Amino acid sequence: MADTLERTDEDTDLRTVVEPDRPWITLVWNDPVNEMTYVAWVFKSYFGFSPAEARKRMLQVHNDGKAVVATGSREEMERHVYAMHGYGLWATLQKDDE
Amino acid sequence: MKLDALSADQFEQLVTDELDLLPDDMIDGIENVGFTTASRPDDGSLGLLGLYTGVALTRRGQYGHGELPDHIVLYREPHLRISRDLDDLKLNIHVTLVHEIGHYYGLDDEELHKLGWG
Amino acid sequence: MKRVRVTPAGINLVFTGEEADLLASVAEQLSELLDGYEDRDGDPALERLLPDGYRENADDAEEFRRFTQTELVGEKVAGARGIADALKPRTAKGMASVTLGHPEAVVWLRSLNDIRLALAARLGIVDEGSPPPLDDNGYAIYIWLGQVQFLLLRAVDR
Repeated sequence: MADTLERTDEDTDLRTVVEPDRPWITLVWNDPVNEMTYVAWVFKSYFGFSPAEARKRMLQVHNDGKAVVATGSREEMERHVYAMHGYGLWATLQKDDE
Repeated sequence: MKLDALSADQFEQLVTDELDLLPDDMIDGIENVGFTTASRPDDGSLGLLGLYTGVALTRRGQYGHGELPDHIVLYREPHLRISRDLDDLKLNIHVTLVHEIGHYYGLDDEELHKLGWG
Repeated sequence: MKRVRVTPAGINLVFTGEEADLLASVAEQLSELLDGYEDRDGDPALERLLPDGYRENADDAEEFRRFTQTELVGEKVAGARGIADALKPRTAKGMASVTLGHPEAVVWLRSLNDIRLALAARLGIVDEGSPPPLDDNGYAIYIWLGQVQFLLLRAVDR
């Protein structure tokens, strides 16, 4: 999977110059299909969250419509979004706007 | 074999075997039931041998709309505590399974007792 | 689904022959749907199964798709085919009995979820307020798949 997500150095450099300090985030969005227990299990097994933390983020998705599940480099967040799509969760990445 | 040394895997195997030995007419009517084992109940007590969660067949409305599936869990340590030896353990597992499946069919504790099902 | 149980050899699922045919058929349909992902053309099921990775920037979304989509589709198709294949053998009583190790059970959970997502898109279950299409035969299958997934998850996540 790392291979498919590799970008050229040029791309990476350009981004680094433009946005030096703002990290990227992975967001998971609410949808009416995924069961709450399933979403909590995905958070627990993929991100390694404790059961309580996984449940908290799952409820945030459910109640607030979305939750941040990871923060870091763009490449890392792209890997997480890819993984979430594999589980059927509706995830996107973006620059942290806070 | 000393029973306290019986592992979770060995207990699972015994439950699997006892399930296979149940009479067909008891098993064939089962729909959507999960069977798992655990070391002991969530409250840590040793008094409970098994637990059925679900909506008994006799109390169901239209089947399958929004209800969670039924689930039966058998607890290892409480079974080990009341069993003298391996044969006794097998018998106890059998009785617990029949008892919990009885609940699935909508029988209450008193009816189960009358039938000799635990 | 007759029953799910945890055995030392893995998680054992027993389906009636009819149920196994049904599940295999929806799994096949999912893999056929995914095979046509390149001409998605606004298909709501494919949109939901293969969503954009970027919400606000169409170019980034397109690039992400270009880098990841083939592999994602490949994983999903393999999962669905795995389910359909596993359900072919039948017992003497005409049942399908499948025993899954942990990694296979995880693939099943993901694939069952994909099938539910695709069905939900077809049934118009798009947000929390969508009325349940009670009269649609597909809805009964959707609910049933949720139950199978719930029982399997309970066995995986002990």
